Amino acid sequence: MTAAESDFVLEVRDLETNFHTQDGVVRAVRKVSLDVERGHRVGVVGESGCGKSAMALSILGLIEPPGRVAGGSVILNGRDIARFSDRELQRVRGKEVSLVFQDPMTALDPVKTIGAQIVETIVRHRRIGKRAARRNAVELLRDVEVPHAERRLDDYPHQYSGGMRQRVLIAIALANEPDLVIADEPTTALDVTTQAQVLDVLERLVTERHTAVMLITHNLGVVAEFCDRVFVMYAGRVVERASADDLFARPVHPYSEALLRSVPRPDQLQRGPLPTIPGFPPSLAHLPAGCPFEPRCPVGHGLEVCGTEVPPPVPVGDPADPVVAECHFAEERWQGVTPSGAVSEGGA
Amino acid sequence: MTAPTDAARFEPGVRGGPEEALLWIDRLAKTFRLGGARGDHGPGVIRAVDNVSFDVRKGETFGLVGESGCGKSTLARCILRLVQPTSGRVLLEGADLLGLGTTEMRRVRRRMQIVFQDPYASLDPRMSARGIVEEPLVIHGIGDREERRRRASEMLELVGITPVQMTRKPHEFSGGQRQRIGVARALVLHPEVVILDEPISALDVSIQAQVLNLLRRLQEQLDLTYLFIIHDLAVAEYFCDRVAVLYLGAVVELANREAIFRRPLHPYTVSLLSAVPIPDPASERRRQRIVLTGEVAPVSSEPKGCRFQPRCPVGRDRDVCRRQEPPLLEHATGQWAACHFPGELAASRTESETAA
Repeated sequence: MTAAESDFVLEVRDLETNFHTQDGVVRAVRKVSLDVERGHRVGVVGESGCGKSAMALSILGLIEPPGRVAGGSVILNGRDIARFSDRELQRVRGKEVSLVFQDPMTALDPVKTIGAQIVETIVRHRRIGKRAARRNAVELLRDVEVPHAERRLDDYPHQYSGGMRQRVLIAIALANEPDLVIADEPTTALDVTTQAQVLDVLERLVTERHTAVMLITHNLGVVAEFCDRVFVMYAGRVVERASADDLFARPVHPYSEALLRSVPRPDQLQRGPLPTIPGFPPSLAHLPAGCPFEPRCPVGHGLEVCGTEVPPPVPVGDPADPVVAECHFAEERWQGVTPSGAVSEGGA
Repeated sequence: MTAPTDAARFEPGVRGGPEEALLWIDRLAKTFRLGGARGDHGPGVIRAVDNVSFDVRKGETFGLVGESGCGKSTLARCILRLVQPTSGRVLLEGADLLGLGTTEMRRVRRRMQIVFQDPYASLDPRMSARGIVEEPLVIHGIGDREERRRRASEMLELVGITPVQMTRKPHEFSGGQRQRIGVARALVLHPEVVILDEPISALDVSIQAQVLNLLRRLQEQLDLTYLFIIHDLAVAEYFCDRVAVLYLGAVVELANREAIFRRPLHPYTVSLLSAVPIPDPASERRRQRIVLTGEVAPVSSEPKGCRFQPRCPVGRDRDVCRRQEPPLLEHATGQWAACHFPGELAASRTESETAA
């Protein structure tokens, strides 16, 4: 399988996912393309309803009615799994790509021991005896730094703390050494010190096993800490893709900039009103004609081109590793010709 | 270290007295009894709030920070007597609330209101936005129908809900708008103290900024005093004037925000702050994190030694920390810490930073 040796573990092309509702067709993922390099850590950021979770579920073939993947391809290790049957997908999920959910309490079965749940995942994809699988499960728990792993194997999920449950989910996700782990808000329900520990575990495993991680989160601090590359989603589109360094130092899309500015920085003693983004994201069932961010945009609001024409992806900066932003003013903003967005101050 | 004198213990009354503090929490405690006598839980008592004292001054925002299970929500509920405290006093302008009867307590609740975390669960789905905001007025028998309607509408407008939206039901609003309705409901009685229990934790980041700006504007307009319970330290730093850090039911450090966030003395505060990721990769690479080991175990029996000792980078191997509970003492002006070796961890970090 020569394709598997490509630099990319995942290549998503023009992925489209729609939800058919009474309100019309909600276009949750609108022709999204993105690549994940082997062993890399990418972040997907955006607010509720931007399509980031729908995209993750679409990649894994887990979209359920009234949702439907309407088009595009999902190339995992060189094969388009968007065309796979459910049976074929089951062989891929957990083995080549796995998912860590946000809420470890609902993702674990409350009536089965932790050990049973890990063993189940192992034997699903490997010809291995029960006893060997159990030994393997203990190792996995040790890998994710669960203390007294052997003894804790026979405990039930409710006997684990939130942080420990999240580690178990990571252990399950890694049980069959997948090439890609998609983690959907894996630290959102956790305290900062626990979050730090879970990110450490994830980081170590990535480095040691060369697993790629796609981290879906709304926490920009976590992105800055963990990710090499970031995709910013808005209204079902990736509106900016950049290295983490570029994104935080020089956000090109006005939405990225507004998002970055709306969080208080823990390393700065701020006092004035926080910059906010006026208005609301558009309804994905009734999208505006032009740029989806135009009604809220400090740069383009009211401009004819922004109101009528959907901005194409514009590459800027280093041609070998460009920042790509879907903004009519991407080039000017990268060059610093137009003033950075005068995001409304204190518009409560 | 010599035993501290009583005068040095945290007693807001010693400095100015409770009449200066709008709200004075005095050695408040809440213990929960565990069901049964099962050996694996040790003695059957959990000290959820353990002799907590602090004062909240008029017009300020006082922050309570700490991780889940540190007792901050139980503490808030004790203050409002939604949960009955085991011992201690809650003084509102010098009057102890814990001895009050139901009718008197109801009168006090007009002066002290709470905004809950979850804007989805805390609003009655069958009522209109205006109905929700009118309800406290009905309960407290304020005004006639006309008057209540007017006051509810005014308050909703103040938080940014337009007249057309006022007849809508909660499900027709976004999370941020629902939290605005929750704020309007808390403010319609014109309280003096508002307890904000994680009011933005369930919201998206850009919406969090809107709600924080709203809360600050209302504080100025309506002369409000906030007790702000928040686990997000970046938000606490941005929003609070003074902060108390809770660990396992007790205040381990209390100071103004600049001292807490720039010159923390307690090793738990230092560790907690070091765990907050900074939304900037360049600063992230410089950040030196202290990884706390060990699990948080609730304080059950009579505490022996420092409650943070088993996880403490400073006191883990020190005898005094194991044996003697450090009292909350004022180590710098207005900065209180419950630690035998205050500032030691912060100092060693500064050294290693300059050496690096």
